[in-house]
Amino acid sequence: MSSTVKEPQTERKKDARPSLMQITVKSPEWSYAHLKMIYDPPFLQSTNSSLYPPDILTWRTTLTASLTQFLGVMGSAIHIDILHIKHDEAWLRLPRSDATMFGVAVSGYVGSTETRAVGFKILGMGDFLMGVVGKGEEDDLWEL
Amino acid sequence: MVRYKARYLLFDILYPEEPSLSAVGPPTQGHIEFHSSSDPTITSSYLAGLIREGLAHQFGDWGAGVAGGLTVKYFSPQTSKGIVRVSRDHYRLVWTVLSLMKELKGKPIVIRVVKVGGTIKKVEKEAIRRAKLDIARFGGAAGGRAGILEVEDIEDDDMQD
Repeated sequence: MSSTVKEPQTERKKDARPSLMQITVKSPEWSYAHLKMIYDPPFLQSTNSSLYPPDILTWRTTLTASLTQFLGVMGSAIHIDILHIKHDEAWLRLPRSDATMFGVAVSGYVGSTETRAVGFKILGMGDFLMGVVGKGEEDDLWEL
Repeated sequence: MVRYKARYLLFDILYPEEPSLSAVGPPTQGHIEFHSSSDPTITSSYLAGLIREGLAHQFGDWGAGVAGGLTVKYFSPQTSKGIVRVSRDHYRLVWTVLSLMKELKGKPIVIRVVKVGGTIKKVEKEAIRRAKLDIARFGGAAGGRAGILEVEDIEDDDMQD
């Protein structure tokens, strides 16, 4: 009984609001990751040497090393774009289909430099750059 | 607990450069040389080791982990044919590794996966069918006896399993 009463109401609502077009991006092509390179024993944040903070080539070789160890030749073939580097953190773009495996390969990696062990910490991963960048900046927003 | 589901890959090893494909001799000569027999020291376990190495190289720790549980069920150096058993979810990794093998004991090779099956029986049947085809092809030229022994060889192995 109640449905018969409600029906005209919903119809009126529909008329009042013309339908908007809505698009959902269900399968984006790329995925984004925000990583931090970590060392053991750790460097002082203020350190500024040839080893720290890591440069773009160090990032590339360390990432390739971690992927090759976990996924072999297939891993080294994963297309990674280093979008930005800030101190010891980097923002990367990679194909979405490889994102899961990338996450596993990178988080389980322990490599070595001349003096210390090196690894990665995933600070954020997602299908949209806005989300990944925004997540990191949330902390800064509330810092006094 | 779910039953372990397997795939059986039937492969044969080809020797594309090994022999001199001479113009003399019957037309089946080239075919025989192309499918020439392998070094008798090549065993199933040796091949399994090679495949595992290949997995580690091509697919890293992950590949060696997920597909490393393979077994080479059968390999005959005389016919250069073999059967590998591997988990159903990862048979393509092993297939890739086989296809990418370039060398065996210093000889350039091509490995061809000719049949993928869910039971060893079906794969063996395909091996026998192919062996029979080869016998028919060589027929009088190579002498049927050797070929027939080859078929029995495979069937004997089947009994042992």
